[in-house]
Amino acid sequence: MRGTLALIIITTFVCITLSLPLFLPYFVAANTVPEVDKAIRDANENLVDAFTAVVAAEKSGADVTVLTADLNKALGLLNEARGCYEKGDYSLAIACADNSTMISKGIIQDAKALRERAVQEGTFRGIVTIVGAILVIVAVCVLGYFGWRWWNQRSYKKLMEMRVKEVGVANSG
Amino acid sequence: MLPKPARYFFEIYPLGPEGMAANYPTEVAAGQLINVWIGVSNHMGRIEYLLVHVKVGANATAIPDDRALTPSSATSRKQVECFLMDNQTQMFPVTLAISRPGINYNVMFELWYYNETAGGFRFPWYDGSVYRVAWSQIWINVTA
Repeated sequence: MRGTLALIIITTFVCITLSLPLFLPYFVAANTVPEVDKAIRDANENLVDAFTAVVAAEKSGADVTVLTADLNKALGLLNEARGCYEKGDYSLAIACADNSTMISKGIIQDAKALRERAVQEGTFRGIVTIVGAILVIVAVCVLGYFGWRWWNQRSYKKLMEMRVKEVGVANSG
Repeated sequence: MLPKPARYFFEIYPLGPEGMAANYPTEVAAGQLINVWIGVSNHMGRIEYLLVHVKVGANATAIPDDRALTPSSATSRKQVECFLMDNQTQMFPVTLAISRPGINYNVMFELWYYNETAGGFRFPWYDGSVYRVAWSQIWINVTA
């Protein structure tokens, strides 16, 4: 009797243990659906923020070729996350969405840095242009002044060196 | 220094299975996969976040309206997204199947862009003077 009871308990335990993997994804999935939703939503929001940051960087004159490639990389991961979500592979979906978020956050930082650098370069270019223009104007004025003086002196000297020439004097004697 | 373009615009065009403007599928069996490529170009003078809606309609389905600037009322069967820089072109493979036999199915490709002010994708875009829409379609007969 005791042996039968032990056999039943062992059989039940083995059955539960063997069937656990079949039901485990269901329980895990039920718990992680909101997490996947949140991860995908976060990834989407971060991607849009990254895009806005890249637009701002481009507007300030930065080269955004690398950032565009990164945006497409983040978008690819987000799409992969959506695909995994539809297939029910929630852990991979979360991993892809988190990777996408990470790339997007990196893009936001890079875009900000690029934007600041572009603004600084723009300011520097502006200063160089203004200072250069002023220098050119001053140089033209100085050269003009000295040129005018030299020309004046040359003309004066020429005038002073002039001699009276006798021409057409009639011999009346 | 580059001069500002006089007009801003998008381009969208379907291509055949080889990625060329030839051998477009015109007749397929019901459920058979239709393979085409979609080319998208951005000439808006800045980076754009683009979305292509692939819609399938029958004769009665309203196509996008160029004057009213409205998209087709058919439901979107597929969406393809990408980021494109100014003057950049990208091609995407699109695979879909139509299960019900019929003639003159129109497979429509609508180009939407992300509008930061509106906070979402929008169909009409501003070319610098007027609003426009970009879409294209191919006609397919589906046999039983």
